[in-house]
Amino acid sequence: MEKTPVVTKVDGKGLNARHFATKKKEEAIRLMFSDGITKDEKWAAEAYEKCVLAVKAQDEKDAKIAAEKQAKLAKG
Amino acid sequence: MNTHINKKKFAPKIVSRRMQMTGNDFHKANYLVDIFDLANCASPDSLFNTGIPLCDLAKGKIKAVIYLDKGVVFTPSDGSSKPSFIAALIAKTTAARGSRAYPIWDLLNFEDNTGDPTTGAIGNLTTATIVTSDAIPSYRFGYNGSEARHRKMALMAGSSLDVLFVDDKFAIYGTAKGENFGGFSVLQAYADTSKFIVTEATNQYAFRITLGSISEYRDQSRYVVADTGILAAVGLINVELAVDDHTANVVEARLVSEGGTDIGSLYGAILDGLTWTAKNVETGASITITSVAYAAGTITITIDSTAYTALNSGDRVQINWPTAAAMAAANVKPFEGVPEIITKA
Repeated sequence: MEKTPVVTKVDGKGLNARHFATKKKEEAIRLMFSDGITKDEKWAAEAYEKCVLAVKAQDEKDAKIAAEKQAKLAKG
Repeated sequence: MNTHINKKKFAPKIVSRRMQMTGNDFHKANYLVDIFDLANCASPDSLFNTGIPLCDLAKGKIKAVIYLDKGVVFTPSDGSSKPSFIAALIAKTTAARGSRAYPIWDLLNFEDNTGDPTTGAIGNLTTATIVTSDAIPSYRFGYNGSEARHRKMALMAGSSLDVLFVDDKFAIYGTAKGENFGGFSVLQAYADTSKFIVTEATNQYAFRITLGSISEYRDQSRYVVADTGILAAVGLINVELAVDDHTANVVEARLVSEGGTDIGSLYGAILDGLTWTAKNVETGASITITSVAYAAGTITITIDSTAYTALNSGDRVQINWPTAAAMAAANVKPFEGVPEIITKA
């Protein structure tokens, strides 16, 4: 099932969190540079961490909803 | 008389037995179940009656027309209460295309062009006439229109639609669709040409609706009595990206509604936190948008540079706004973003 898109805002920029969080940190930072999002490595590193946290929170939320749905179906 | 009769095998005999029944046999007639040769004259299933219901509704003045994408219905669950019906209607105004409701509230004029049923003679020995075909409901609505809006409204002619009518008591009139409540089938939806004012402005902007079925309208009609809460169900306004610069994988644009009103200062900082998507028009494959940022009147949309570099020169990329539902949930409403197509140099 397709995962919920996640956007996390860092200093006014909406980052596609799932796109960056699925990559290793160094790769994500490199992509932020090549996309022109930032030239600041420290900023990119912090932004990456925020993306990872945002995706984790969304996935936990989705898992909880799915579990509740499953429990309801099992109850009938 | 033997009551254990194989009805299939002995059907003709059952009929003939009925014809031969005497007074002593009539009490046994209740085991006969076929309806062959039975007209409806004394049918116990008929609902015909002339009494006035203890609680009923009469149509008021028309207040709104709500188009529905064909087949869109409200389930019994939606109709379990006024709030749930109203919530379902509001949700449908931002639903995906094909599942949407399109309210038109600002009606100014109503004309019933239904006409009379067709009548015909029944024989040359009498002057009596009977109704031979029903008149199909057909209406014209003048509304508080304007040029750009009427241009959009004219697109109703090419859409597959059902329709609900709302009166000034906020009763919504539709039809039964199985267990569900849906709109009347629309045979034709047509926008008249707009007019320059001469002596009056009646029907300056107007549209017509001809329904597809008298049966839906008269015999299977249903209604829902709502309240002023349904005024929150409004039609969407198209918003567009006015692209000011496109360099490599980065697009800079203003956020404008149809007619050019810039909505960036109101909604830009919210919109850049929602999900924008893109696709390769040539292949249909999705392309990742990695960042969206609104600042100082401009929205900057960054496409994945790796994917963009891989495109051929001349390939087109379609940039899609967040969905109408996502925007409404973030209080950016009532809008729908029009996709923007950019071309790789």
